[in-house]
Amino acid sequence: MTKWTVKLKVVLALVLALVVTVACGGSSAEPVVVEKEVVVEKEVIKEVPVEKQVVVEKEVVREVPKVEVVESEKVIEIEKEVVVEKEVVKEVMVVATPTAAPPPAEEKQFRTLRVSQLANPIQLSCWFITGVDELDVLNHVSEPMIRFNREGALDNIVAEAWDYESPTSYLFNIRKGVKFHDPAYGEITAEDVEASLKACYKPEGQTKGRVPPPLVNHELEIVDDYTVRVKMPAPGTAELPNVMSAFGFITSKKYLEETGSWPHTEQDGFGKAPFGAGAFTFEEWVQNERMVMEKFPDYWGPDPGVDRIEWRIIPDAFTRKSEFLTGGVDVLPFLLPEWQPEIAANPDVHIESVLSSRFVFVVLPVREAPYNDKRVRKALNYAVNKVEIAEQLFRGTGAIPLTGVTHPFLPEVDPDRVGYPYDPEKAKSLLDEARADGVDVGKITFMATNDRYTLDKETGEAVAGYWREIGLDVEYIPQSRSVLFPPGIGLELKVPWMIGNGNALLRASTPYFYWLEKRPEPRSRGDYYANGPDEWDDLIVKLSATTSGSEESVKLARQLDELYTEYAPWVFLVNYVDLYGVHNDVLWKPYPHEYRLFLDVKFRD
Amino acid sequence: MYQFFTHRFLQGVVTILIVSVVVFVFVHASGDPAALMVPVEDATPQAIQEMRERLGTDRPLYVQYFSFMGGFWRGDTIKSFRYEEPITDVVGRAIIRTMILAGGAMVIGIVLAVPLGTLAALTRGSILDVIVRIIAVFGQSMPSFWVAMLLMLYISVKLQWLPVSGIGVKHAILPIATLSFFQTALLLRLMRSEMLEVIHTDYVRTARSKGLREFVVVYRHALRNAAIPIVTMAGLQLSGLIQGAVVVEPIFAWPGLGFVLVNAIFLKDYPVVVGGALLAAVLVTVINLLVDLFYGYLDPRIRVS
Repeated sequence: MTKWTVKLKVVLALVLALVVTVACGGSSAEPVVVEKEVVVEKEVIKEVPVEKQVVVEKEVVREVPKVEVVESEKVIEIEKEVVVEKEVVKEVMVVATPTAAPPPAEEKQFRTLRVSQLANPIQLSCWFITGVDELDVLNHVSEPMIRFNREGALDNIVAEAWDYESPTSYLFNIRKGVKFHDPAYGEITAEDVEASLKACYKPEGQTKGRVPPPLVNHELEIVDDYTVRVKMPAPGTAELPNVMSAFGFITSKKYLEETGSWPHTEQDGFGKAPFGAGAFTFEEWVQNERMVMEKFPDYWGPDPGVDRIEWRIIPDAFTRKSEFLTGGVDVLPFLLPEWQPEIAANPDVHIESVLSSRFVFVVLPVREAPYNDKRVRKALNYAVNKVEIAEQLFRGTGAIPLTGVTHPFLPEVDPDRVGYPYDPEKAKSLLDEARADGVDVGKITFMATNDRYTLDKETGEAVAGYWREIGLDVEYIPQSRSVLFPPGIGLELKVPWMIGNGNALLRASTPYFYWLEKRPEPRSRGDYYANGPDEWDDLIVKLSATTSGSEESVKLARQLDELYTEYAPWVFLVNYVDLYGVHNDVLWKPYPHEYRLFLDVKFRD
Repeated sequence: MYQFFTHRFLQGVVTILIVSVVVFVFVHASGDPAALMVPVEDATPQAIQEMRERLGTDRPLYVQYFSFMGGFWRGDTIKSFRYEEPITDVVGRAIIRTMILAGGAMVIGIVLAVPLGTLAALTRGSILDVIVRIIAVFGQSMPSFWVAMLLMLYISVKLQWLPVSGIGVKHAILPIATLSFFQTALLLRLMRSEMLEVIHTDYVRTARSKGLREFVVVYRHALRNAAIPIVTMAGLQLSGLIQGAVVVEPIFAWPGLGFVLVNAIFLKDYPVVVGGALLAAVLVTVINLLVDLFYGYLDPRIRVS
């Protein structure tokens, strides 16, 4: 019996050790980096830029930067040894997975940028966009016609020029000579643009829901090989720049057909292997681990400053921060405000910040009592100390107080607007006035998400606390977005609830379109919740038809902002400041639209 | 023995069935995946209903259950809601990686616990014994997520000896160390107590009285007998290690079963959650069955009872 025990123990240990060894090695397809010590019982081929060829047998001559090519007659196993020179001269030997395949013809010295991602994307196509994780990657591989830059202005990308012809028509000139990643697919033409845009908004996709109906139902007229006209069945086209920038990525019609992604979704192969004419080619996606892309040498635009981008999927916040501090990732998005002291104390890294396109607010159901009384709505606004939320909760760097509807970075914003400064006495007095007129304020049920926005649960707690401070009876219910948003956006809630607005929505008309404009069919959120005066809708339509930043746009946006701020359909809370941790050897500035674009990133030499 | 095996096998089947029902019901009670999958801006009741129809979650729960289970056991291709890949691929990849961690932790646990526990028992009351007992108490009382964060903070961030996260041999060390912490502590205590019991038995005393060297007494007579429960416990603990991996893997971004399941739970990816839980249940049941059989083989009293 004891013999059996010992035997079993030995066998178990051996089997487990074998499993560990094999599986760890086997699961990593990438080369394993070791430091110098290599016991060479095999014949080794060294590759460095070739100046001369020397035949050596059974020994490795390590003369850097001299070059030897070892030829072998009896190849048992080949190892590839590459000398990589970095800023600090350091030799690293990359031992390739044993293989009988010949070594690559050229040595490539990659400069890889590593960026952390929150989650494994579901797929990488423009018709299945569920969050920025997909868009971050897709933007580098397959580009849009136009794209918002850091200043909130539109840059021409695949489009060389575009023209707003009428409220229902845009004309786009396609850039000539934009090559796809594979020469077999040629260059971008009008046919590719047509197929790509139709694929992005295809009925079975998810993206169509993010796009205003007139744009989903657009017609695309091919004027010539390099000109297309986008025609909408109805006005309401002001969101076109947003849509084209955020959700319309151009790829090859032929590739879409070959991968079963268009015209019908048969296999949707594009989503696993995106393709386009962007600055980077998509190389690898190891599920739940990483996505890798490499610089496209024939890219039409400026040469990107890195050779490779590796998106590392690290869901845990503590792990992301640790990876960043140890150099495992170069750029750390979604840096939490409370991490700042630790990040700031590290001399190798720094924090980049940008005023985000996202703000959060409390939606008030204006049709319901007591929120149908403007004094109550204003009191709820005056009661909340937005400055304190920004200073304490967001540590003075993660957010700024929100004072109106127009995003604070837009040219349309009135720099002098003050919104609702913290004034609890005024709030109490407004409530007293309302009560004197018979308004029953009663118990307030207030809902917020606990898993959607930075510090959303805590912000909700703060708001509830401020309301209690002025004597209100508040029940605060934080919950998952999957529970709160469906009834909220499905027009079912009759209580105040908190939500954010953002993601590349860089036009003054956007929050009005999504949250305040009254439209009967399908019923809009503006109609269900805000219920503003009908005449203001005309102003919104006019604002939608203006050119962003124009004098008329500024005038209309400020007028609407003032009207709706006074009307108080929301409790204005904070506008986020997006924080990024960046290693000191990386030169990069973030964008306000929450997408991580690394087209102009550079490594410090 | 045949009857014993049949009995245990049937118990395993019933366990898996119960697990499948419980997991299925609880996962479906946790929220609507359709609501989560439709983008926020598009989450109209109609859009959510369309998504439910597409996912098949609009059908009665019992229909969904039998449809899923039928497909799962027949080996049909059941796709993940999120990844649109067969769940066998998603979970299969992950479970191998989890077994790497669990296996590694098991090996370390045995390798450390057997000699240290033996030494502690032989030198009862000594400083070594006290240290071993302290380690055992700490190891069993510290939650694994905390151990993981401490190891990451000191070994990876402060000392920079090992990578923080990812896949590879070096990357596996910290998660294995985390998992083995509890495992080692448990086996250490067991080994020590078993050895204390054995070294006072008559046959050990007889061996000593024969004039055998102490090493021979301990190794041949005491250790072999004291180690039997260790083998059993180690086998049973393998299932505990798989559970522990659910906590440890997301922290180290090790894409094993725990990592995949936690993600799937947050994304309400029912097929992956249920499929993963089922496969884990099958694995644990099989391990327990093998341990039972082995123990039954070792000790006839068990299979008779």
